[in-house]
Amino acid sequence: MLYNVIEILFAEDNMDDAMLTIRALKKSGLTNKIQHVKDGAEALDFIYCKGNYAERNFNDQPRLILLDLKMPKISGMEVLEQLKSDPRTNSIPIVVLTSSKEDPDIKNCYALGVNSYIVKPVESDNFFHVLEQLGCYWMIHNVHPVK
Amino acid sequence: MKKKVIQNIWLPFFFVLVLIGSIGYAVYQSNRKMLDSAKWVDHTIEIISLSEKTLSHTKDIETGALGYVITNDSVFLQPNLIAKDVIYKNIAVLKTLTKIKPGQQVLLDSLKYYIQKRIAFIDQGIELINKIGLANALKNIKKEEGNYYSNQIRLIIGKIIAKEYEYLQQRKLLNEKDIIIFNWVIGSLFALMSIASVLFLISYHRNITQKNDKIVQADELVILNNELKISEAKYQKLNEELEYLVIERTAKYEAANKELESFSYSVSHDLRAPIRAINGYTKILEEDYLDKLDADGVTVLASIVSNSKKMGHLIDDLLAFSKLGRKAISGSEIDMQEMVSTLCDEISIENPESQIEFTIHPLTHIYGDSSLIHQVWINLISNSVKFSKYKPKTIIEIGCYQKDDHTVYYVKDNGAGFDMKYYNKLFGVFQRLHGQDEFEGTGIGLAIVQKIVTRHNGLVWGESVLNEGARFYFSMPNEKNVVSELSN
Repeated sequence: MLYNVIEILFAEDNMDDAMLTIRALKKSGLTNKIQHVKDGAEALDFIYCKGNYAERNFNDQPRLILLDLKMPKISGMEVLEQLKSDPRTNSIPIVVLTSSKEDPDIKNCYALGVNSYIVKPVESDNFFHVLEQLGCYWMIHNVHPVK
Repeated sequence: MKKKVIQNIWLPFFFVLVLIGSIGYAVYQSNRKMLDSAKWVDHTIEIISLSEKTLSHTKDIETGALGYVITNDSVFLQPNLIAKDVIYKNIAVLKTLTKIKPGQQVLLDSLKYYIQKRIAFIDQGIELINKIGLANALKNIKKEEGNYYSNQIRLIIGKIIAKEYEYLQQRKLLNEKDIIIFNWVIGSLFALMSIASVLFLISYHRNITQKNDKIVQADELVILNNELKISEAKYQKLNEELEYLVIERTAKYEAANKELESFSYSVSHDLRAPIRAINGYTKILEEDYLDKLDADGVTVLASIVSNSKKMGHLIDDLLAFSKLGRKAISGSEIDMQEMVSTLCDEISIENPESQIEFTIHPLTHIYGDSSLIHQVWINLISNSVKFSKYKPKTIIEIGCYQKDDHTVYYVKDNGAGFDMKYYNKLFGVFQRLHGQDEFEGTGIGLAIVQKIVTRHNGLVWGESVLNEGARFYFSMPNEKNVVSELSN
């Protein structure tokens, strides 16, 4: 697999959510540039080119990270904290996707430097619509820092 | 207190001391008087003795002269010479001794005069005898004259002695009187001292008893104090235990609260995910496999979507309700008139299909949590609108009145109402008195209203006649502090 052309890193432990999200993103035209990881540890391995991703080039980082907060091993919050405190990775836009607006961590996420915070809508129409817009906004309209 | 006790002991003691001193003085005075009497007795005896001696010497002179006359022997005149000398000395001594007695002085002067006369008479007689011889001399000597002098001397000495006795007697009487007085004084002082001693003893005994009593009382006090200390310690221990219990309970409560919070979060987070999945997959079926489904299949898909949507709403409502119990209430003055009229305008705009006629009576200001009270009005007015939707015209009346220390607000409508026999279910969570096909909703609205009003120390109640409309009331305390306390 050619990791170097990955444009979106997507961390999500719920396979249903992952499948539906990827489908929505694909529909918005961002087909084969998404890398899905199942937890925070794998997300960090990918970014820092460790474990299964040891062959990856550190300089080729994704243009967007979609991060679920509730994940096994290492939580989305911890991943966010580590990446935003590392000068080499803190310019990568991170969008947190979470299931509830009741999440007590919204404030903390902003404090840590999250770029956006999205509550996944329960209704499918809304859900797909939000994800299409999100992909479109971050991948097309948003200007990325020069590598 | 201690000083007074000492005074009480020493006062009678000092009194007794003074009495002893007085008795001593009185005894001394009495003794002095007795000595004085004795001295006077001696003095009198001396005077009497001297007087008698003087008389005796006078006789000696007479006797000597007589002997000479008879014997013509000059030896007989020898004592005469000595007596002459002694007589004048004795009279001088007597003069000194009776210096303070003028009567005796006069008598002594007379005595001296007559003695001189007597001696001179004798001396003249002897001279005459020596000159002219005894026989011739005897013719010339006037014996009567000599006898007269001797008699006078005897008389005067007798007077002196008698007078001296008289003086002694007077002096003795005076001294005796004084001694009697002093004896009385001494006796009285003794009596007083005895009384004082008895009093002193009583007082001393009492003091000792009091002291003992005080010691006993002090001991009792010490015991009481110790008991007090013990109960204090017990109390403190109890207090500490209570404090510990409070801390423990608070910790437990906080832990429970935290648990509830994370539970709510989990509920909202984890219950949502499967619904989202159901919705998502149904959507995929709709989008990608619609051509493979018949009309029933499409209806089933629609039902799945609507049910999962409802599930989402239930979760949101449940979460909102559970949050109410934990939310801190902030107190401020609320302009109910402004709040309600704005809300009615909004509701009219949101429900253009309903013909709503609002009648808003003057509403008094109240203290409470503005956002929560706003929620109460939303729920009550929305309910009225919702349950009046089958009526040709929706008539909603809003007002308030005073009752006790509370303001009672009400919302009255002409809607479907409810059956009063199910009143106990009215404010229950997810309790509904109408079919879902008739009126949509999760049944949480009135439960939320009740929870908010209860947290404001108010009450909620309702009344209705089925199909004729309903009237809901909620009361709020007028006192500001009732709500202020809630905000803490």
